[in-house]
Amino acid sequence: MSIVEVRDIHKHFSQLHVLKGISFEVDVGQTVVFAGPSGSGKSTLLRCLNGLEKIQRGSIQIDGLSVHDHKVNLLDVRRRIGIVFQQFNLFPHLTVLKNITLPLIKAKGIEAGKAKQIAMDLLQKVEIAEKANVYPGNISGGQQQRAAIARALAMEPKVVMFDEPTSALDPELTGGILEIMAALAKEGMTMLVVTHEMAFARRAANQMIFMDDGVIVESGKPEELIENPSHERTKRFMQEIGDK
Amino acid sequence: MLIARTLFVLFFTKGLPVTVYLSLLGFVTAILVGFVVGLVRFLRVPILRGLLQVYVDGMRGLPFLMVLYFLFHVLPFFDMRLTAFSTAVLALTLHTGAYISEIVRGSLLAIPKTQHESAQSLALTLRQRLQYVIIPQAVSLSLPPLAGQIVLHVKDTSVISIIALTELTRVGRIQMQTNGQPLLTYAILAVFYFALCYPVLKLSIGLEERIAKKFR
Repeated sequence: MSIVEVRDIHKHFSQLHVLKGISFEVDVGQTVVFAGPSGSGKSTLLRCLNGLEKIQRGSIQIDGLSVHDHKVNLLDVRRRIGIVFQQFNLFPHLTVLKNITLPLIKAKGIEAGKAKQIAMDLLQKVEIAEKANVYPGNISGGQQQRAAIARALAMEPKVVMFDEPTSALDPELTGGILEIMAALAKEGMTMLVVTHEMAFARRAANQMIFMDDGVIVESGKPEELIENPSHERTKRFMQEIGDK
Repeated sequence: MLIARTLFVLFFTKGLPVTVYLSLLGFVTAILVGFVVGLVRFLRVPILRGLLQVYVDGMRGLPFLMVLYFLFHVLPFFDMRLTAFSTAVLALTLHTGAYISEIVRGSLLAIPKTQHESAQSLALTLRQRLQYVIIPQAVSLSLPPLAGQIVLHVKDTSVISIIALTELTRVGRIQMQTNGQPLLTYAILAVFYFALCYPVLKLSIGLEERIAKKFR
């Protein structure tokens, strides 16, 4: 059963045609990795999925809700689909704990004591429970990203998107984050991940979508696309990534 | 030295209370005006936004003395008779409010777009985003310039002596005319203003350093 349905979406930034007819579906519990050169529209695609960006054509369904339909309340969509950003985007004026409880209390109407419980459980899970009362500015990037993941998961979304979650991290910190994500995928979370981490794709993803210049060039099993891509553009990209 | 003592007593008992009261009252109302105007302009509320821009640009483009004269001499023609004190508070509110609205708007604009997006993605409503995410961060950014604005505001109250309100400067001028000691009189007057303003200036600089550290 598909929980994400994207049909022929087009996105323009004034003259710039960023997404040129993207279609795909994601089944419940699947992890899809989006790969492709920068500027290919991967991040924009994720941002269209939770309504941070408008689309000019096509349709997006998340858990049966039509994201860009005026009759649909975007808040309902956003309660169903979480996102983890490259730059973490925690709220710097709130402690790690408050970063997680604020949306729980305000957007989901969960009572404060319960919210704290949920937050602490998740902080435990991402192994930064001891940082609960610290401000984001005083912890490392890796810890901030763990907190951001906990914050997204606390909302109990049906789908979680990751927009280059390890790109802003020092190399030695990326492993821990990918570990958490792989575990999450294994637990059956539906995940859409934009990343250049091909090892993660092989290990955790069910499907890989290769994008370039606003279109899907090809998609398939991660190992197929990485080892034996059918398109020249995919081949070139995988070589460039591999060289790094 | 007798003159100096008399001056101190007069400044302290007659001038200072009026200047302080006028400054505080005017600043509180100016903050209210400035917050609302700044927020409305930040949110780009249609129509209101344009009207408020005219207000802000107008106030910023006119001398405070002219605004004061205008209210003092023109309002009575429209049968609005305010006391000198009310006129002064109104003028200060309108004038300082315009400047504060720019501080408020600037501080709100300084919060990165990513903060809005992250709050949006967590299903917070516009009101919740402003109340819990954007405004609290903007408030700490606005404190140093606000403290700086208080100093300008306190000094602006000096102009109000012109509409016969007995605040510090007017007390000084009247005393100077009777005691014939301009240097002594104005020196002591200067001490009073400096004592009011300098701590706030220091506070502004201190806040700036603290916030710079926090957001680094």
